[in-house]
Amino acid sequence: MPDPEAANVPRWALRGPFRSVALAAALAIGAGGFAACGPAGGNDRWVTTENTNVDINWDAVKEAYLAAEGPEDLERRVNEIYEGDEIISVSVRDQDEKTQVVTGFFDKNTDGQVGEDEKIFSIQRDVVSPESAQVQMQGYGHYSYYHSPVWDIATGMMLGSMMSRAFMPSYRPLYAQPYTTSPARVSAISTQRSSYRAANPQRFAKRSSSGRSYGSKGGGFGGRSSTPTRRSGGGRFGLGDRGKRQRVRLSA
Amino acid sequence: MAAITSIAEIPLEEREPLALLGFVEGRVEPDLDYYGFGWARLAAIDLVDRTGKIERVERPLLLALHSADDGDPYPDDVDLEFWLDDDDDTAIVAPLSAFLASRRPLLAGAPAIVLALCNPHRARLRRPAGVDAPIYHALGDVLATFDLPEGSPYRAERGRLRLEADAWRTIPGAAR
Repeated sequence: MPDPEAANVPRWALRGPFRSVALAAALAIGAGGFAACGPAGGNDRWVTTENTNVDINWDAVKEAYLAAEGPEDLERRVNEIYEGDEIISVSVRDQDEKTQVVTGFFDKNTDGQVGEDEKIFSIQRDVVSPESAQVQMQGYGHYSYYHSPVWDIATGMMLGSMMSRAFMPSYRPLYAQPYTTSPARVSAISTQRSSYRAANPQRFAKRSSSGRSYGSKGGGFGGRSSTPTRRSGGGRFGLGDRGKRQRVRLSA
Repeated sequence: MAAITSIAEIPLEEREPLALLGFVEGRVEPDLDYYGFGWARLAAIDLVDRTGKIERVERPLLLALHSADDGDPYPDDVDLEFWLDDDDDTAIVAPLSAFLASRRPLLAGAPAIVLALCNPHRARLRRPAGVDAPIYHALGDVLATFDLPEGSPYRAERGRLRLEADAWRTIPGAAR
């Protein structure tokens, strides 16, 4: 029997950047003030939770959203930011023509749906005029004490098409039917992120949630050690590019 | 090279582990176009799944092979693809089950077998006849990584070899 987890076949695919015309916009912070804050430190841009030791750079997540060309590009960006072992799935939902809600979550039960206890963060974008919008982020679960300021988005800065599309005169919400990371995509996202981490070893020196680390592994060689470690990438074990090769099939 | 007309004729050579897994000293990025294959005996290798869970396999026989990414889907088999010669534009495609059956003498004495092989259709593999060791295989893509302490010689036994995949499975029926 095929594996029941395989609703679709995960494939490695190198996706070229899908870049549409980006609007020039400016990011002005704080016009809306701070949202109600939770415990002390709730507005820290870096948050380290008690239970996971995994940092999320909220500023980077916000920038990822503003720069994303679409939901899959956002998945890639967010998972490159996240330093833990889990894969962050993304749900993008247009509530109406003005409001979009992006939810990051750990799809623990691999059902491709956002469970309340799986949420990590949400980003709400509200278009407030033909040339401006507001964006606000909130953490959930271990990150529930994070509430961002309300950021005003206005002309003057490059935005990815996911954001800039909302300012187009012809804009129609694309995600009234929500986009959600398919469980079948998780493998490809994980592979892409491994490549990214291997190419950026200096960034992944911090401990991850499982105690593994990226770039400074200590105790993996039979004992505890503070010896810095380099990670390098090897091969992938599938052949995707047929090129000009002529294939000969053998059965015995 | 003489034309290969049967699966048993496909050359499968023992190779140095790092080279077998596509590592090149000084290169950090993965080689997504790697097409080398062969086998090696390792002291250990870590199999890492998407949740970060690590299973260490001791003293495995490692078979590094390549799936045909656009191969036909089978519930219990994988189409392998072999690029035999960089100057030759021919690729050989063969089912994994038949390939493993043709390598029984190599597999039979191994304490454990790890397949470094993408499994794009997430097939649940069948055990080859006459092989009773645990056989580990992936679901989804497989990528090799290698952690090496700074300043150590670039040798497999001085670092930690890992294979990362969405999930890992063992073929049922292992006798040990």
